Amino acid sequence: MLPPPLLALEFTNLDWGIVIVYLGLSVAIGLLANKVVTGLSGYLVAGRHLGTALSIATMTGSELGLITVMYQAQKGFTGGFAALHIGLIAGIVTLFVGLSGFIVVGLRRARVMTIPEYYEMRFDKHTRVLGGTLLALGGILNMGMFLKIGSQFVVGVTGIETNMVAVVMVALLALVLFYTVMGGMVSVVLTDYVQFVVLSLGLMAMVFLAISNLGMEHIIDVSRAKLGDASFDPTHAESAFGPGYIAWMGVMGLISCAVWPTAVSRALASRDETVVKRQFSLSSISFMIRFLIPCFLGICAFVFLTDHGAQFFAKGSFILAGDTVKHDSIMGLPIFIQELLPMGVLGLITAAMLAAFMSTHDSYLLCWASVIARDIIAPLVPSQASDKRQLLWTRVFIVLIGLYVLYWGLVYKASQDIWDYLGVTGAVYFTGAIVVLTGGLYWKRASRTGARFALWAGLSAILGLGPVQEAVGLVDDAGVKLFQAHQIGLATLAFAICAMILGSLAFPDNNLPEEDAPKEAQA
Amino acid sequence: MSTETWILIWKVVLTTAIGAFAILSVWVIIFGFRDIKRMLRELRADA
Repeated sequence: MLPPPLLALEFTNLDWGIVIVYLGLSVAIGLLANKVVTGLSGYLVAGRHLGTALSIATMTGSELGLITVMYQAQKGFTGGFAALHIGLIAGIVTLFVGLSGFIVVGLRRARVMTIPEYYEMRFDKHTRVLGGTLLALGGILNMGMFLKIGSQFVVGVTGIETNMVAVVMVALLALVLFYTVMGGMVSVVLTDYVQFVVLSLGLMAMVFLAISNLGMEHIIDVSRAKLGDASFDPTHAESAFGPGYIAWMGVMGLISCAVWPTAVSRALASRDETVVKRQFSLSSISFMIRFLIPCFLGICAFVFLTDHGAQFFAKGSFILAGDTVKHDSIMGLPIFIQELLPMGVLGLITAAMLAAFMSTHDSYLLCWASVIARDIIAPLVPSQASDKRQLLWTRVFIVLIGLYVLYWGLVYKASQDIWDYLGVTGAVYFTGAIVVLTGGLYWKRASRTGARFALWAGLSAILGLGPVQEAVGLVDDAGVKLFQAHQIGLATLAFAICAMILGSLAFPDNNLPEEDAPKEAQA
Repeated sequence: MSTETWILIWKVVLTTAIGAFAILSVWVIIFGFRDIKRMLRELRADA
């Protein structure tokens, strides 16, 4: 029997209705949250009233964003089953953090609201401002692609005109800005919970439908036929990964749960240290799933398009049978979903994906804006340090970062895999931060000079960005990059570790002037 | 390792992880709702 034609299904009124109801619910949550949030603690860390189950829901909701779904699907689409190693490693590393309490328990014990705040407790104010600045820089660059990828998903799955991407971007952003500005962390937590409910059901449904439609053995056979043994073995010479990449995923797994501010902020908002450890141990399942399922769906999308006669080109780009438009590999999943899901379910899954999109945006906007207000402006301008002024500046920067993300989504031309882009931009912050946090919490001789050196060393990760490599001549005559993103990431991490050790040994914190001495964090 | 071993590993990983996530999801949905009610009550008390 011939397979049905591609893109035969349409996004029906029922599907649109489900999506609109969901979006309306998000607005209602923003209004509700605004009524119960009064002070800065309520706005930034929900008054530290999160229980274990809600902590897991919000952490999963925040970290299992649409961008995660899209880039992991892209990895599965281009790399096959071998890409599943990313999820497996993430789960193992998160379980380690949960059982040991590595970094997160120390931060919760310090009762800080942001990571740079800890830098001031342990080192000094200047380290806090520097750390906050690099965190905001790396984090804001990191979320630069979120809006564009989210809009591409909406366009791909609903079938609306491609030139509507900009309109979709503005509409989605406006909605997220509204409820985040209104309710802060409480809005984020409530929308994350709703997202968790919808998305967990949606992901299970998608896996079930994908396997029942394609057949597990068929998926394996087609992957093997098209990509060979490299489709299963991440260490294979022809694999898209290799040992260096796997090592980098180990670092990324650790970072994304123990150092990445949006994940750590859930630890800081938790009721106590026991909740933190339990939260991270149980979240190891969702940290693994957030990579495994989208990756598997990407593999299914590849098999599905292969079955339907799609032609494939470099980096997984493809042309559908009977069509002339060349699609980027990132579009494989939305096209597959549109074909796979029946009426009504398509709307539910789209609502789940929009929920994933929004909950990641709100967490990131709140996190970076609060760091700018609390760790850059407040320490530098004492007149702006009151809770009321910090709350105001946080809201202002939520809007400003939103506008920047819109601009970046419109102008930046991605020349590398989304996951690699995220890894590189995140590394600007986290390669320095993990060294400073680990040194600060577990090495008594770590000094403020070593901490500052390590933070500056982390900035060199920006060399992993495609346009930066071209600008500084890190490409050969044929335009091929001399170093892969993960190689630069690992080198930056090694550089930051050396900078911390050498800086601390050469410039120990002896006889600090009183005004520069480490301080207790504000409650 | 042989390709057959890798295939077996990925099948086991997928099955185990999805099963564990299904159980976790049910638990989080039920007790997360309880946590929300508690959080809102405490936030109102803080105010």
